[in-house]
Amino acid sequence: MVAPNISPQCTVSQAKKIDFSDLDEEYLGLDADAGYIYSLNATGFHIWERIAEPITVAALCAELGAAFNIAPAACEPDVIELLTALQTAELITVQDGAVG
Amino acid sequence: MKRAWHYCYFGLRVASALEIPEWATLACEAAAAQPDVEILVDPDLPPTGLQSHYPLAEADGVSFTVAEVATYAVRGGREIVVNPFPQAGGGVRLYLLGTAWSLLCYQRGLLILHASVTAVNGRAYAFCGPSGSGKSTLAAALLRAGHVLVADDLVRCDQEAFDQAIVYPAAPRLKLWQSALDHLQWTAVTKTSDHFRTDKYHVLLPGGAPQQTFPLDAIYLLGWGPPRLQRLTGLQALQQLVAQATYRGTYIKAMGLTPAYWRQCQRLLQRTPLYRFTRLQNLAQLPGSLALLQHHWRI
Repeated sequence: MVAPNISPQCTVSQAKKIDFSDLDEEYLGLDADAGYIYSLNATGFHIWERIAEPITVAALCAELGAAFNIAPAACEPDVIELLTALQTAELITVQDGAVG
Repeated sequence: MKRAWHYCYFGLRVASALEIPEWATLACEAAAAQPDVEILVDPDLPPTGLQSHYPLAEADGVSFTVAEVATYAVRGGREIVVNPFPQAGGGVRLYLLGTAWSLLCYQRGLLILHASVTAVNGRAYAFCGPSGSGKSTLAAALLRAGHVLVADDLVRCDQEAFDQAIVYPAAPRLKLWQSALDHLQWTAVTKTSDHFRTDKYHVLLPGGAPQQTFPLDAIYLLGWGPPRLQRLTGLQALQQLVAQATYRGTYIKAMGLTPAYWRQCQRLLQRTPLYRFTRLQNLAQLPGSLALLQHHWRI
């Protein structure tokens, strides 16, 4: 199955509880059931924590832009790339449109 | 059965029905209270009926049979029951101190690694790698350079109790090839032939073994190649440590302990840096390897 493209209007949230803990400059998350271990950098881990509750990609990028002092549009491609990887790993749910 | 022998090994008080000469330096007084671990002999313990070495999961533990050697039952992290085959000889202790002991440690939730560990100036260094990567030979060279042997083959690490990980002393025994013995000009040591390989010797070191724990300052994964020390970090470090330093990984999997084991290894690496240490596969290069390490340690 090909994952649908993630757009700024999509709402994303964690689909699985993964405990991440740091090692050196990375955050490692162990998915004991699946037998996988995931590695995120600091920014990726920040995003992972931020999507504990559903949020639109646009709102996420706006927050990241403010937090890291860059234009939201500039970080959007990187954010969508990470979200796509997380979606492929079945770690997040992606819904079209804003929730509610 | 009478429990006649008492040892303190990996921080555990052990009462054993078998004398364990390999633990002679770790002998201690009988504990006033219940020992942590009992080693018993039971001639009625049945063989698993499985292929040699295969673990049989039971309600309270794991059993395995080694053909022509013995059957072992390891239960609750508290007891190891042994039933040797007739004329089994010294191989009984080989699997008792290796496989059975490691299973007991896993049942107790202890982190153990396949490594040779030496210490100098109160700091310990662990050397890991597959069979044939020269762990013991490097350790032997370090002993000649003034280190003490903390462990060879199997070491208990405590990654939880302190800010820095510590290692527990094991028995003063190295497994060395005759060529390494010759190179190191070690003749005044007691050696016994390896159970499997006639040209490899178990060397009992003179002067006894350290009794105290040591802080573990660094872990090195040994390999062959141009002399080089390279720091490994993050996921790569964790994967490499698990791949190269795990003792009896099939048993960890059979016991369902894989996630807990990975977390323990990560906790260890949060406290102790990991390096890949490559050097040329040539005994004549040993002094150069030592110089690289000693420079690294600023000795």
